[in-house]
Amino acid sequence: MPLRLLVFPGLLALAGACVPETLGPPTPTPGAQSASPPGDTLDQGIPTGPAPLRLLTRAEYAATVKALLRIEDADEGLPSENQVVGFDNFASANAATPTHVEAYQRAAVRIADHAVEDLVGLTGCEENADCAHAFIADFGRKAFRRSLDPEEEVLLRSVYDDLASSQGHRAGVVGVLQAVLQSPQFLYRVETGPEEADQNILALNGPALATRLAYLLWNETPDEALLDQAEGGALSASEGLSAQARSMLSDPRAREGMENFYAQLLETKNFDSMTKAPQLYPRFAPDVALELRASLHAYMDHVLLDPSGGWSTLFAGDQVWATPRLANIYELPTPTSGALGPVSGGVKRTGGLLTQPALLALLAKPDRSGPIARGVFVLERLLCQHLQSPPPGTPIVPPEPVFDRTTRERFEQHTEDAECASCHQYIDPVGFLFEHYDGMGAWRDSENGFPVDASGALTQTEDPTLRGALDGAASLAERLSSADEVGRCMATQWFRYAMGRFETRSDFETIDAMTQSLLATDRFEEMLVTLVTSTSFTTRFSGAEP
Amino acid sequence: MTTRRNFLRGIGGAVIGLPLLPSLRARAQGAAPKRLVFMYAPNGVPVQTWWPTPGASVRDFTLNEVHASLERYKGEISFVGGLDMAALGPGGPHARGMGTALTGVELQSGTMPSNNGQLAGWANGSSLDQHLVQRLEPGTPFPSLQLGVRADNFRSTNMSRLSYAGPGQPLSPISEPRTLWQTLFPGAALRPEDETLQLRVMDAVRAQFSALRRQVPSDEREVLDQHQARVVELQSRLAQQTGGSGNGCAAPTEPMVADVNGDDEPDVDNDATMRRVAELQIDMLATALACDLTRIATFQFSNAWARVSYPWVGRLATNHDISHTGLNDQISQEAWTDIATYQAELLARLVDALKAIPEGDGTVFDNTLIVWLSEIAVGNTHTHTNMPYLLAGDLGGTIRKGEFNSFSGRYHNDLLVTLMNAMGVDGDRFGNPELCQGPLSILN
Repeated sequence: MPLRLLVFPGLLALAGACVPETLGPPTPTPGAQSASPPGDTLDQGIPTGPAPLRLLTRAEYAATVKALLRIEDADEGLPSENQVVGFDNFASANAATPTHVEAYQRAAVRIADHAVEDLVGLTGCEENADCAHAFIADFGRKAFRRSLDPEEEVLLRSVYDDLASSQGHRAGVVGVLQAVLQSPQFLYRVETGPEEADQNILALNGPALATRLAYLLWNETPDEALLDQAEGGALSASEGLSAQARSMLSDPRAREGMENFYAQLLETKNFDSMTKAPQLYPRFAPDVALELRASLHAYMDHVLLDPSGGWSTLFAGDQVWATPRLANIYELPTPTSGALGPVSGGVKRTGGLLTQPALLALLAKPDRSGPIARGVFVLERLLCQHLQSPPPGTPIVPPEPVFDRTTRERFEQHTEDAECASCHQYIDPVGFLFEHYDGMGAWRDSENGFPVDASGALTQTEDPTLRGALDGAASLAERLSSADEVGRCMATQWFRYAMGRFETRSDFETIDAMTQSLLATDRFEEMLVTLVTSTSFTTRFSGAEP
Repeated sequence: MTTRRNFLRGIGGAVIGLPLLPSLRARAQGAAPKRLVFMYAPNGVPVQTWWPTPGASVRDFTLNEVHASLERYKGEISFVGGLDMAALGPGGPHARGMGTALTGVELQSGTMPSNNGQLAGWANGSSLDQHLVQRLEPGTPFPSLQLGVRADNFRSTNMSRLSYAGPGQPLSPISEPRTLWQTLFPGAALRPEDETLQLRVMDAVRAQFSALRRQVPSDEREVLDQHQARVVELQSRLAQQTGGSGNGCAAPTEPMVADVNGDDEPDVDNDATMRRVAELQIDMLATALACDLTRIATFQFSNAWARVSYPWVGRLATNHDISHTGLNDQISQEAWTDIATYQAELLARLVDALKAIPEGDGTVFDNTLIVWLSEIAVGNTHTHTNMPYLLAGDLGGTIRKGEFNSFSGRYHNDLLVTLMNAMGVDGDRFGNPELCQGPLSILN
């Protein structure tokens, strides 16, 4: 199967060096020293995808400890993840540093002390060695996401026995908790299973599949019921796996799984640090940013999981989730509930995601709208394109800003300069489509006394029928809603998120099937069921001999 | 007279340590430790107001507007001009500059888009701070510290990392004051039974790594081995901490940062708390140096994305957007100058703090060198020529101070070589050897 490179030779000749292409695994530089863990190297014809060891992210760590011990915010003090194409869970970018190891130790001490405040409640039995040994098997299974092997039980029992004999039962249990919480079997998602002959392929065993399912669909560790199913063999056949996935997707915990995906795709953590210039946007306040995030999250929850949502609603419909204050700022009807709720946004908000006030506020600067950020968002996150800029050494000298014109007119200077134009000719015509939305995402008819011009175009798509002139964000949404390649991009983003790595050639079949599923059924759940029953999800390349 | 102890009480609150402080021990052994701090601020400098005006001699320069707060220390700070960063390889200019700033090598090929879309991976070598840790083995509780203010603002990529433990091994800075505080000052010395417990646990953790190592494919072992090596380091630090005296130093009171948006969490990555966070981090850095918790540190103000903005300056735009403005845009250049002035005041705050702590016949500052740097030279051209470097302190007389020297035609690798030599590690190359000619003539 060919690499999916979008290259448009005719336009390149006009434009210089900016090459739109799909972002994928890099070609390794011959001879370059690379300490990158496996996962980001282009596959050399391997039969299934690699599965590099994945460290729990902060979100996964917090959710896991909450599920195991009912302790909230356990990830406090853990360092930020490094991000690749927006996602925080790429194994290749996230190795344990000294800061991590310090933080895990502090967290383990803190969590263990907290957990033993109700020792009998924790262990479910009396304070003696038999009780502790039973607790080790039970808690160890939940924490390692599989039953302990005998050596592991011996090791943890010896921790308990040593400490209990010198300091008593409680200290023994504390020691066991600290040891488990710092162990690689807990901190990494270790995946094993029977190897298929001669192929270097492992068919993941039940617990490993349960772990992939739980973190993908619930952003959480597998619970006991799921582990029981997995260890009982219920996930070994495709029907069992799809039934389990459907059941998990109808569980309330699926909201957590969906949120962890779209929050990264849309980078909604950045609402925490959002600033708007008070003289330009006097109605902004830091807590408005939180309401905006809640609004965007509620909209995405609706699209991904509500029966009335679905793929086609991502680029259509005028629904906005508003609080009374947001309704006031954005001239929306007040929600009947008096709290955050869906309202009709009217003719200015008919582009689904693309006309959500919160997204437009996020993709803007403190003192103006954001044609570049908005254009790049569409190209990178929704079309999975990547603009390869001019080679290093090309001078980048932006023009002087002029404040007596519209944002659009200032930015149009990009395309007057040949070097800037090589990329901006693709970005700006998309970004300008959003110019009716100011730096807060509020509608405007004019800027600095000049009428807003929101005309633009989509110039680079795989399907040539999608290209052409557009006017306004809603027209872009309508164009994208009919585009198979937008569906493929969404499937690709989900794939990367689910696997914590880029796709390899052996995964293209999986992504094709996910795309078909999404477009045919209009349901994200069905796309995810297709993913979790695919070879990419149920097997892994085993690499070298153990 | 200000004693070290009074100083520590002054900036930190209650003193809980023991009388014999680590660096006093060092003095008793005859040598004060040498300390090196890198301070980073993003997107170059406002060239018209940052660079000093040269005079008749290298010592006869006039500080510019940005460095007014350092006027009282003029005899102790130096500027190094004329150096270029080669900044070769993949990635946009900001990413290439970040990657090479302390490593002197280029970025690996990779999949992280820079702000202009160019792709690259992590830097392909150790940064100088980590190289020094590996060569000097300082034996301090923390071999080095990476801390910052909003270092993970916007995105955490190769645009957000300065320190590398090795090729492709970025180190994450700590931007949360509370986390830094918990890391540096874990409280009173552990009770002996807690020491026994935690060390017994670490033995078990190491055994668990060894067991897993045998079960995974060989290509996964490197990840586990690196992690296990960190666990071994931590275990040895815990043993020091629990040696019966704690870290023997004063713990500041718990740092508090305001909740700005009402979600009941301190907002450490927010324009409204930035100044407070910066002060807390600087003060804890000063304490960590004074208490010999570490001798090598990087302090990172935001990152090369530089999406932070400064509500108190004349133009509320992002640092990045302001840095992009042309030299004739007076309003923006004034804002850029205000930003750089604020950042220089953070340097002055660190100098003030270190100068207030006695050590030997002088102060801790006398045995410290602070190196101020950025990842590009000028924001609106993204050039890497005439990179801005400011040096504060002379590292116990090792480096000439109070001078403005210029080294046209040399690469910044030679500055890294100079700093390496000043810290006592020989060699005439660092990073890409083809870019090195040897140390700059600023060593005494």
